[in-house]
Amino acid sequence: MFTPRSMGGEKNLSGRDYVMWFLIIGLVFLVWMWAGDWGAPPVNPGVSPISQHVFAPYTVVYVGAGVVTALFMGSMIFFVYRFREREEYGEG
Amino acid sequence: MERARAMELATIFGAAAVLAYLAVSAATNLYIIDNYGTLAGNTTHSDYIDIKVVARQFSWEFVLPNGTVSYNTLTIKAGQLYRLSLTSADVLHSFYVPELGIKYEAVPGFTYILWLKVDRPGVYYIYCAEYCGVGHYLMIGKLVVVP
Repeated sequence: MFTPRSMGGEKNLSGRDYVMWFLIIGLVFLVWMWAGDWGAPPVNPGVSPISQHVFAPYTVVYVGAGVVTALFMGSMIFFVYRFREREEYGEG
Repeated sequence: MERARAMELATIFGAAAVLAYLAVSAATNLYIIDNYGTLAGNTTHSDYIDIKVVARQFSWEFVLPNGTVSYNTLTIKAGQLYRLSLTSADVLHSFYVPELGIKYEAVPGFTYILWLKVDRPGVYYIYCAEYCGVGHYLMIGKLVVVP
């Protein structure tokens, strides 16, 4: 079975790989939070008591979506980088 | 337990816990929004003011309790509770006030109740959030809240 050189035939990730993995996940999460104004509702919810109930779950949903996005996107970026093909020849 | 199995279970139950929390939070807040007046004990007509809202191509019609009809502008008092009965005279529309976070569908043949109470005076724009025809983009109303 063909094993890319970058994997070195090793299936286990090193400590450095784990650090890189979590750093990328954290970076994606930070970018997500920055893009969404750190989860603040788009308008002032204090205008109406009913609006407060509308916007109450906003930050929770935004941060929750950020966690999921960071986990999946961060892992994907890490795996694409970590297991990239570095041979001179391609599959075909 | 094998490490991979533990990670698998943590992923499954972690995701389930997040989804459960979001479901409970959404359901609770939605129930409060839909039943705001009755939950606060405002069950008689002296506690709130009824306003009929009819959406039509391409304007908003507001019928006040005294029979007065206004088009595209609804003037209300700050701090007063209103009960809006929303319907449509022709096609699907959507009563959308972004600054208040409310968006209700206006469906022909159906009447939906929405509670409205705004504490801060000002002008809030009412948009139609359901494509309703060539004049959809002109269907903009004003909610004027006076002190």
